[in-house]
Amino acid sequence: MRHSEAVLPSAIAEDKPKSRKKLRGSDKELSLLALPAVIYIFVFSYLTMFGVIIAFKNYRYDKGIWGSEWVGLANFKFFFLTEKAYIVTRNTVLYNVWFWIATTFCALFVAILLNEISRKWSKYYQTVMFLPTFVSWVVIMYLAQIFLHHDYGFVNRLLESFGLNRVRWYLEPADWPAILTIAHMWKSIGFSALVYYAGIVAIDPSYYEAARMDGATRFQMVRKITIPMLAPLITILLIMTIGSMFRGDFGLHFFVSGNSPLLYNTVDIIDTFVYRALSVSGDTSMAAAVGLYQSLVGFALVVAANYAVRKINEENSLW
Amino acid sequence: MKRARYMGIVLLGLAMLATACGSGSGGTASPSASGGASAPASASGGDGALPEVTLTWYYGVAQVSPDQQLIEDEVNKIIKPKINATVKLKPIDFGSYTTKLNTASAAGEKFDLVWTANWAFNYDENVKKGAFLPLDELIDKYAPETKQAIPQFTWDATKHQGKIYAVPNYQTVISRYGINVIKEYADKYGLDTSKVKRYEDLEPFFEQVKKNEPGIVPFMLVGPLTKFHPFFYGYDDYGVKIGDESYKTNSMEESPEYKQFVELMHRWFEKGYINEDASTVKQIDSSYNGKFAASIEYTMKPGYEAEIKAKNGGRDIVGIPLTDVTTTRTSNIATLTAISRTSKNPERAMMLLELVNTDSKLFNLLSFGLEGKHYDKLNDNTVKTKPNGGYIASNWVFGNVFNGYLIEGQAPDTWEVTKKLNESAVVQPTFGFNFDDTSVKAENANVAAIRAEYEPLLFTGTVDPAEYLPQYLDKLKKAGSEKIQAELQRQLDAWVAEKKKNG
Repeated sequence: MRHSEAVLPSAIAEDKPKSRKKLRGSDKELSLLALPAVIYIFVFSYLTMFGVIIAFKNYRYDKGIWGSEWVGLANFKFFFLTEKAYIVTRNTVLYNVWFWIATTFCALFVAILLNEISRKWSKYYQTVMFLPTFVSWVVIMYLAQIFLHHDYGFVNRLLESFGLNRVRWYLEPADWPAILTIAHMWKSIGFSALVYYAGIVAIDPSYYEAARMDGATRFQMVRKITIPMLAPLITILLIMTIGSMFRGDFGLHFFVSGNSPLLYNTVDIIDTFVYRALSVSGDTSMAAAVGLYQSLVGFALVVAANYAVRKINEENSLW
Repeated sequence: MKRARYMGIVLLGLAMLATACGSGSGGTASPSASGGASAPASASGGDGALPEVTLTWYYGVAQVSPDQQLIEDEVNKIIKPKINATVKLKPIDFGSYTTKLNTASAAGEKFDLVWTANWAFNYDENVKKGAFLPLDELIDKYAPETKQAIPQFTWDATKHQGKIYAVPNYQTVISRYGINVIKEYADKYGLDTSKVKRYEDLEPFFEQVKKNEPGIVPFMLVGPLTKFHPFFYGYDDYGVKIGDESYKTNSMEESPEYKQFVELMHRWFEKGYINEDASTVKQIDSSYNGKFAASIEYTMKPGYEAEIKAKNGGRDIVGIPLTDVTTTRTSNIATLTAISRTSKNPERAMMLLELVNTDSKLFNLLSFGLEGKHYDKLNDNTVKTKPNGGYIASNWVFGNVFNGYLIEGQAPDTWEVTKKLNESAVVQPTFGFNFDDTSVKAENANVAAIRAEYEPLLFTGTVDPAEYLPQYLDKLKKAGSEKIQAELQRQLDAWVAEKKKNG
C-alpha cells in the first residue's frame, strides 16, 4: 500500500489538505508560542517607529522629541553631500548580494552533505560549524590579527618560510573583499546550514523512497527533490536579505578590517561611514536620517522583490 | 483573515495612543526642569530650612571599586550636616562612560551632577543638545570660593554664548607637546636633548637606533592620536597666525608647514623609523611596551616623566618639549562637572560642588579613600595608595586637585609649580572664542569623516603625500571645508569686534 502513495502527484494531492487541517487545530498553541516574539517586535519595532520624526528635527534633550525644532530635510543633506554616499552605498549592496550568493550556495552544500552522513556525525559537524556564530566580531578582529599582523602574523610567517615577501595586509585594499568574505562565511555558514538542514529533514522521506525505487542516484535526488522542495525557504530568506540590502554588518567591516583608513575604498559601508562622520558630534538626528533612508530603500526593495517572486511563482512569495 | 486585519488596526491605534502619552510626559519635562532652576533664586539664602534631598552623581573611573559603598557612606556623613543632602555616587568606567551617559541623557534619566570632558561624554556637544543647565547664577550664589580659585580664562573656556554650563575640575590646564625619549638610548647614542628644537634634529638619533637596535622601533606613532600641532608652527587652534591683528584664519592643511610635516613623516616611514602599523594602532598597549625608543607626548606637565615610566617598560624617559607652554580652550575643558537638565535640585548640587572644591577632607576621601585602608600617609601632604586596598579613583574627576594630596613620587612643590605654569601660559589670541557649527553641520560631519580617513595615513607617513595630499585637499573642498572656513571667519570677526568694543 505504500507503493501507491509513493507516486508523486497523488502524494501531494493527499498531503496538502491534511496538513492544513492539522495546522488549524493547533492554532491557539502556535499563536501563544509566537506571542513573545510578536510582543517583542511590536514594542521594539512598531512603537519606536514614531521616533523617525527626529530625522526631520534638530533634536535636543531639553526640548524633547516633540518640542525640538523642525528642520525639514536638512539632516539628510550630510549623507548626500559628497560622492562618498555613492561609494559606500555601492559597497554595501555589492557585499550583501555577494554574501547572499556565497552563503546560500555553501550553506546548501553543507546542509546536503550533513543529510547524507550518519546522524551521529552530523550532530558533531553542526556544533563545530555553529560555534563561530556566537563569537563576537571584536574577538574575530584579534583572530584576524593573529593571521594578518605584519610582523607576527601567521600568514606572513608562512609566506616568509616559502621565501616570499611579506604583505602589509592592513594597507592592501584589493585583498579585503576576499578576507571579509572568509570571515563572514566562517561566522555565518553554520547558522544558515542549520536552517537548510532543518528544511531538508522536514521533507517527506517518501519522495526519496520513491526516487530510490525508480533507481535515482543521490545526485539526481538532490537536484530533483531536495533543491525544489527547499525553493520556498530559499526565496523567503532571499526576500528578507533584500530588506536589509542597504544595511551592512558593522562589526565585520569595522572591527575585522581594524578600521584601517587605507582600506576604506573597498571595506567601507554605509554604517561605518556614518559612524566615522558622526562619532565626533554624536548627532542623533543625522544618524536617524541615514537610518530612515536605509529602511525606506529596504522596504521598497522587499515589496518589489515579493512582487517579482509572486509573478514567477505565487506559492513562494512572502504575502 | 478579516479578524487579523481588525486586530492590526486596534494595535495601530494602541501604538499611537502609547506614543501620544509618551510625548505628553516628554513635553512637560522641560518646563519643570527650568522651573526647578529658577526656584532657588527666589528662596535665596534659606540655608537653615533646607529640606532633605538625595543627589545623584555620575563620574568616570578606571574601574569600579569594591569599597564604593563604604566611601559613599563616609561622604554622606560629611555632607549631610552641612547641606542636608545625601549623594548617590555612580562611577562608570571611562571606556563605556560616553555611551552610557549618552543613553541616560537621551532617555531623560534623572540625575544631578555629571562629569563631562572634551574627550569623554563631550562637553560642547552636550551643551548644544541641551543636556546641561546654565550655571552662572548658581555659581555666584552657591560656589563663590570655587569661582575664586579658578582663573578667569578657564571659566571663559567653558562658556557657550556667554554662559557657563559646567564647573572645571581645576588641574593643569596647559598644553605643551614634545617628544619622549628613553633615557637609556639617548645616553647610548649621545643625543643631546637640550639641542633638539625640531623634529628634524632627531633624525641622526633615529638612524643610530634603527641600525643598532634590532626589534626596537625608533619612533612609535599611534594613528588616531598623532596630530599636526598648529601652535608649534606659530598658529593657534583656529589657524590664526599668532600676532596677526586681522584674525585671519588659515586652512592648516594647505599651509607649507603641514606639507613639510607630512613629507618628513613619510620619509621616516620609508626609512623604517616609524612602526609599520602606525596608521592602525589605536593605543600604545602592553604589546608595545618597551619596544620603542621615542614617542610623542601631548601634555608635558610638571612631574609627568615619573607618571609614565611604567608605560615605557619601567625605564626612565627624558621629555623634549618642542613648544612653549600654552593654554588652549580644549586643555581647559579636559575635566568638568555639569548639572543635568533633569536635576530636581540644581541649587543643592551646586552646594555639593562647592563643598567638594573647598573641603579638602571630602575631596581626599573621594579621591583616595580612607587612610590606613586605601592609602598610607608618607607625610602631611603626600600619600602612597594601596593598589589592592579596595578603592581607586582619579582625583581630577571630582574637583580642584590643588586642594588634595600629592601621590608618592611627586615633588612637594608640584602644585605650586603647576599653578604658576597655568597662570604664566601663553594664552592664544582666539582663546574664549567657540565656533558654533549649527549652520554647517552637514559639511562638518563630512569633513570629520574625511579627516578620520586621511589624517592617520598622512601623519604617520604611511602614504606618499605627493599622491595623497592633493587628493585629501580636493576631498576636503568637496565636503565643504571652504564653507566652514568662511563661517568660522564670519563668527570670529564678530567675536573680535565684540571684544574690541568691550575693551
